Amino acid sequence: MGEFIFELDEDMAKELLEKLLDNSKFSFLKKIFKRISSLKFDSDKISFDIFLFSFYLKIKSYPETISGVYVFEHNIPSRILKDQDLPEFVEIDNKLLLVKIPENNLLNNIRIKEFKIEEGNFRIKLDVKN
Amino acid sequence: MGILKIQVDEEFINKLIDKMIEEKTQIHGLKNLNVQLREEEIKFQMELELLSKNATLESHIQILEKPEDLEHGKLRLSLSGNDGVRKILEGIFFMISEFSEAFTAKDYEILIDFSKMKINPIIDSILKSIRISRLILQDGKFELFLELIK
Repeated sequence: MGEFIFELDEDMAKELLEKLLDNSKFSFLKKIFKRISSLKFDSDKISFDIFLFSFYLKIKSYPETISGVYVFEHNIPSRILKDQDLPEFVEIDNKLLLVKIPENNLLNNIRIKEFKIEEGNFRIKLDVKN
Repeated sequence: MGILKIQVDEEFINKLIDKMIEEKTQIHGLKNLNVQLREEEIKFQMELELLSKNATLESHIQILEKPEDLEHGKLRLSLSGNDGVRKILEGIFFMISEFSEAFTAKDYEILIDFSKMKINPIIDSILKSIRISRLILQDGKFELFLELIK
């Protein structure tokens, strides 16, 4: 009890991603992601194929509360992405992708109990910090 | 499959509200706020300190009509309980209705008409491809399951 659960499966994620990019200003990303042939959620990893290449994003660490830094390992060629206007809260280098969620009073009080990718699902479980 | 689930229980909401009230006494006079999720109904209990007097106020939001999809569906709510709180809630929805055609507030009834909702092109196009397969308020829990329309 005292939980917030968010769950998303790979089909929904793919659809949402396509829709988001369809309407975004990242024309290059749009072109690439149009070609995603599969998107898989498993073993804390998001894997996707574009043309003949396979890419992945793997959860490395996540903060104690919602606000903080989420670290993902990846094999996406960061050079191509660097030229794009990535959102301010996303940073990327050769090996790591960082998502930085700014602090605020509300988010600081919500603790991440579970942040998991497995068997086709992405799941976040939250509770309130004591 | 194509499913997105959101589940939250009242304990989570109340703990969070307690934390927020504890840390910030911004909402002047509000000592406590308790939210209960009942059969198709949200119950609010507020403890207020007004002119050094304590008062407990209660208000309910009842779901009268639930939308089946997020493109054309309608969500109809009814407000009841303490008159003051009811007026405040109605006032809030009235203000929102000034900004968005999707909201109408009249005679303690709130209507959210999704077909009139224009948020932004991205969200609008996402809403078009989603169906609500489950929207339930029961036994202290809120559950929302969304499914892709194929």
